[in-house]
Amino acid sequence: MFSFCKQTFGSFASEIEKVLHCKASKIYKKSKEYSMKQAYRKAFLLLVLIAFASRTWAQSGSIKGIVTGSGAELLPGVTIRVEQTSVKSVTGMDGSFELLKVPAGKQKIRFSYMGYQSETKEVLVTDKQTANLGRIKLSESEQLFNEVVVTGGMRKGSEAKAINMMKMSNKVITVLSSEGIGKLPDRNAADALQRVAGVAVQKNKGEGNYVSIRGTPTDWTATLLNGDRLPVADEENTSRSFDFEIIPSSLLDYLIVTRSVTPDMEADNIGGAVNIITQSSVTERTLKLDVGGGYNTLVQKPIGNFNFVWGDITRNKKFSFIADGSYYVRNYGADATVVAYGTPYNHSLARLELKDYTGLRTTKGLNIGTDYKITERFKIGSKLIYSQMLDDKYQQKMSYNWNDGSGARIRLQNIHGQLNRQMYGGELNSEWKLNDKLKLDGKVATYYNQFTYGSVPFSGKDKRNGYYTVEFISPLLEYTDMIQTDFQGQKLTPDAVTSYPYKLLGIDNPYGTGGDHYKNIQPKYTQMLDPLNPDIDLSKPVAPNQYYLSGAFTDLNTTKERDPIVAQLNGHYKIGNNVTISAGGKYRMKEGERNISIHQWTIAPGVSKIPLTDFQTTDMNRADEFLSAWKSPYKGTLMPAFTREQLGSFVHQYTDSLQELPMDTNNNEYRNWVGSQYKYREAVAAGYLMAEARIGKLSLVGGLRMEHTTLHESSDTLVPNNDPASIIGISALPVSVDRKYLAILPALNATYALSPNENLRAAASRTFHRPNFEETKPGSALFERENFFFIQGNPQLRPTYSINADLMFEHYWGNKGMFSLGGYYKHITDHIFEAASPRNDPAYAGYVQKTFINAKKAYVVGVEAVINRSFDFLPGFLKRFGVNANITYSHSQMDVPGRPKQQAMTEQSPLLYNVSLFYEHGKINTRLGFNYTAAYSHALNLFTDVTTNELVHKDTDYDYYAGKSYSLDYQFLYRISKHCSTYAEVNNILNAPSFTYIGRSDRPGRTEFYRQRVMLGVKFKL
Amino acid sequence: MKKLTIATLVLLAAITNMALASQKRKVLIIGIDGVRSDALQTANTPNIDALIATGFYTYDSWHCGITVSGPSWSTIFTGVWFPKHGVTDNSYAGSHFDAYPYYAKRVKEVKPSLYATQVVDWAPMSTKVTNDGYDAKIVRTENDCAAVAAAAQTQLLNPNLDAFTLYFAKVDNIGHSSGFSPSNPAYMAAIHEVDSFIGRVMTTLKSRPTYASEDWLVLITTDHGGNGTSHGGNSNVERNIWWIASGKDVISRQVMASDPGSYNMSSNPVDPAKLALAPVQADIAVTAMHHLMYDESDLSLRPENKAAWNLDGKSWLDSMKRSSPPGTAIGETSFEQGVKIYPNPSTGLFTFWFDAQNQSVAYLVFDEAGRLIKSEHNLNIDSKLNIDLSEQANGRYFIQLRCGGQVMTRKVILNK
Repeated sequence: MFSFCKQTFGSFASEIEKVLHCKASKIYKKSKEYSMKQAYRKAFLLLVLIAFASRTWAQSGSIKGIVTGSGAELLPGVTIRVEQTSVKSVTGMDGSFELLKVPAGKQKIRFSYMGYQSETKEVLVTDKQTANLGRIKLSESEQLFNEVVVTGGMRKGSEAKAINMMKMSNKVITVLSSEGIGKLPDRNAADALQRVAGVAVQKNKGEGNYVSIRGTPTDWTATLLNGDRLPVADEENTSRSFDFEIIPSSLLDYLIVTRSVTPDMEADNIGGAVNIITQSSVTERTLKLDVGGGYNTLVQKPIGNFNFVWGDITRNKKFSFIADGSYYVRNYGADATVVAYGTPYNHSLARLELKDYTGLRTTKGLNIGTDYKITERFKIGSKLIYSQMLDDKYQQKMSYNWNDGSGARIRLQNIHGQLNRQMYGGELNSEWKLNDKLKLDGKVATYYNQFTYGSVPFSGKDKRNGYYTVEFISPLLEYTDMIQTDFQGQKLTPDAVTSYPYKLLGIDNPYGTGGDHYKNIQPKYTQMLDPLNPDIDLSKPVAPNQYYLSGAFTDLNTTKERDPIVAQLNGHYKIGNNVTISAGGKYRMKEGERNISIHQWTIAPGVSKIPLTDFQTTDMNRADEFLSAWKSPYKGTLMPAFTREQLGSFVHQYTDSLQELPMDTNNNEYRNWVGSQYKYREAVAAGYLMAEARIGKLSLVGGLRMEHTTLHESSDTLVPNNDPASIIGISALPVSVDRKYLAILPALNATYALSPNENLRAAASRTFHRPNFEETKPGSALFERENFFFIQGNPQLRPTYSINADLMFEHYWGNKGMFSLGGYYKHITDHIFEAASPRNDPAYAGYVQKTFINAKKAYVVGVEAVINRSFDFLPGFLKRFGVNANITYSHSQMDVPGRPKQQAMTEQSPLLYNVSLFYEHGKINTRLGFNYTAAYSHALNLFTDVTTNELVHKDTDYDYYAGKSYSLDYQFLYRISKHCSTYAEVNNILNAPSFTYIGRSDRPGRTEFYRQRVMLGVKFKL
Repeated sequence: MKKLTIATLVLLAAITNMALASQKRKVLIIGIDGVRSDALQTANTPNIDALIATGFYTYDSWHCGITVSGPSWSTIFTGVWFPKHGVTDNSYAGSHFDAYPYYAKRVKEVKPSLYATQVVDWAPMSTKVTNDGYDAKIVRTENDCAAVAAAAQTQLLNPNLDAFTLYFAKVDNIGHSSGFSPSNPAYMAAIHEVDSFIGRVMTTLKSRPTYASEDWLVLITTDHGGNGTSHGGNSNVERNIWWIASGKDVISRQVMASDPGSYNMSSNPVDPAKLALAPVQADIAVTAMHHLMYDESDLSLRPENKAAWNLDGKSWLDSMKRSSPPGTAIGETSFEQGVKIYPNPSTGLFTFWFDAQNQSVAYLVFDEAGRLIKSEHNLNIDSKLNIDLSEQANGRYFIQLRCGGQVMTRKVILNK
């Protein structure tokens, strides 16, 4: 958990010096005959006594208070200085401060905060007493925030708060305030995070979901909710990366991105940590509403958004609460293609899928925070969060199969699923100041996260409900677009006896001419002669009435993870004004399970072919517009699809024609699925000892953390049985693995204030990453049918450790912005990477087998720069413009067993940048933002030849990559009055695709287009 | 002396025939999914090779229908092509097993006491097929050859077993994953593995206590070849398959044939004259039926004579049995058709297989320019002739074979 130093930085050192000098000279005068040695011995003894007693001898008292902005928001990071002394302090997250050892007498206290006007208060300090200044209000500086002062209600101060927090922090952090988030059309926390330097965001149908810091693998980034790592449960993702889609951005108070850790933080992160701080308390009655409506240009359907914040505080200021909620409903769509490649020996195409998605996503979020100050020294609080995202998703899929177990065919799939994610939990926290020196804080939290499929195709909680597909198949085709090569896909020699016909992209055609371009892969075929239907014109495309029913199935998935108990206790002990020692412990229990399966409906024996035209169908959505970004290459060839009603009623209506085939030990294909259920229990016990010190301009935070992990994980494997009653002759045998490891994690952060506006920071730490549960799963491989993957866990996998070094220079232009330039280096052992290869084990034939391997050594080195600046130095209206920009460039290398050369680390993007240009004047606040993440490798193709036992591909040409991603977004805000403003947002202006590729970017895997999302809305504030 | 020998042989054959006639006729059909003909010839398959060495076999079986498992196995076990049995893909939609049942069901019409079972590791062959006449259908987990073989061994210990079908899916699955090709080591290894289980099954079969009093006809076949990582098309490597028949009374002979055409190819329609001579997959069921139905007191009791059964396949039983009366074999293969070269291209050694019929053999090798570079004369060979060109330069050569009064020339490719 992130925390600000609340201790007082008095003139402790100088006081000691003064006293020492005085006492020592007296001793020296009294006993000149003493030898120097004796003198020093005595001096030392006295020194100890004096140091112990000095504070009681000094005539001093304390001052405390709480600093807020004019809008009552709490201001963290405010510098408080007692004039004419060296006593100073900084406010904490809750805006509170406490100055210790303030010399008794009348003192002037100065409050300074970037972007705000400084305030000075006079106070009488009495010996051994604490003066309470109560609430101190700072008002925004008119210089830049002129308009805010005029119109009030924009919570403009929040962003200044964020910059102040960054400046005052003792580690390398970036703070994103709710205000900053509100300036761009970011609906969820991940979209908001992509504006931060070095943060890359992966997307799902155009919405950010996974966050990676400095381009490192997403699961190296810890996601904390109010300081606790969250449980993860998701449809496809099985890493520890949290899916931010579920957290609406409006529930956030701050997002704190930490790049260098301190020992009091959970150290299970290598890239860094994202701490989501929800709102916890208010200092006055608050009511805010935000109502928006919009439009998705791809599906041409509406979007709606409603957020509220309601909070209040009792008259005696002891109890406050806040409740904020969000409801966001949006239609969305995607045009997608998937190209699957058939063999590990060449780049021939096995399948082209044309996927047309439409769906309705609903996100609901509720956050309730309470704060109760029982006494001045003891407070308790609670935070509760509930969040749900329901994705009601339809897909129409047309898939050309050059390579299919049933021959060359076209398959049509009608798909519907309700993806239901729920996350909830909460914490009880308490803070107890035993005395001026010792403070204890502790909390107990519990969180629950789960993914399930909704009531499709049956009502209620039927076991067969899942991601539901009804499939049709074409008669046999003969593809006429094949290129004759040898088995390896190379040119045929003139003497070759056997040739292999492959569908190839132009770039992979060994003859140099011909072959398709990736934006226009055109399957060409003639129909195969059908003696039963001799009248069909074989040169014509397959007509809708020729497609016939081949079956239906539901993909089943129940994934749960909960942290039933997360408990922590921290103690902070101040030694004088300059040093604080903290120690604490944390315990977290985590339990989870994942259950993947399939339920099938096959054609009952003897049932004749049922043509597609027997059903209620409609044109494929946007049949003419599909993939318009690629000039609609499939216009006129897309087949009709089921109406939604037909899809819903199909399994109920056709029960006589269907034979149900559950997936259990009686199923012939159970071998594929036996490893697809697993459970785990992980307990982490951590302890740390940390010291914080400020010595003049240098502040240091360092210490040691230890985390002990025990893991019990279980799954199934298949064993033959001799039970005559067994239909297939197999049983599932539970297997489990137990792991224990202790991580020793030192960390040191140093900040040197070169000037009041300049910091130099350096940090060194050791952090680690626990393998994901799927990666260490024992038993048989897990089957990811939709992606044609078998995932074989590796229970021997070791955690990844990283030694991190950071160096950073920061310059703050007062309230006009800031600039930073930094570099980092991570020395990584046991980086976990994904190796994928078509598997020789027959159990997985026809599919890609993935497993996880530790790379012995790897490193990543990078530089990052941030600039936030208003153009106030420019003339005229140009000064109303400004820029927020950041860039992270990194270079990484890792060893890959069997490959002669090192290569870039998987999941490590080498270049990330964000640029946003803003204009702020009067009632208008508008900005245009662009963000970019360069391509990176995602999994390596380590296909091994069974005879030579060598890798078939020693270079990266068969590796799996995530393509570059970028987005251009625009937002316009107009303040109508103090209480009301309107906004307009356009998201994804460039209609940038999200895509993956094999080896090179013009050899695509999955490509998705989402088009633009437009929102218009109104915000109200009481 | 020679005459005496012949007389002895005739007598022996007659005795054998009598002995066999009293033996109970039984059938074992082993299906291996997706094995290309060229792959089987190259693969390390000692157990299948042992059956080939003494068996009646062909590497020249051409697929006349859809080169997909569902339709192919349906043809293999019904004796009719897909326009009749109706199966065109692996969903088995549109099947007509009611009108065209499996071979065991047909035999039961004649011999109701027949006891037939099946062990497979691809469930649709069990769950999607009706009217199959099996008394037990056992499915093992897909690709688990050991489990399939173990279940088969259990079945083979049943003294009452008359007809047994055994099927292995693995080779096809490997082909789909990494390529149907003799160039793919994984594919070849899978063929080798299945062969080892066939060895175990054959050992179990021969260890039946009643084996001496039984006449087992063992038929081994595949359903289709493969091309790249797929099949279902009409290319030669998908259509060119093979089958083997082995039994106590089965002669050792390789059947050669030319492509009879396909019901799926307008460019290569089925030629009924060629089909009548070609060993195709529809013949498996009919040959099996014939063996099981065989009644020496009524030689007209043949599956082909059952007009109502409307079969497409033909029985090779007469052609393969040592004891068959003369003139009952299907066609007579010409010398030209009967010569088989393997491997071609080769890195040096070319093996010619043919029936020299006890005549002396000569060969001449010419290069592309027509120069004679090697020859040998007056060779006495059994069925194999090895010609070593490993000392020659890479390229095309023409080899002329002379046997008795017959001459044929084949082109070979040397690629060291």
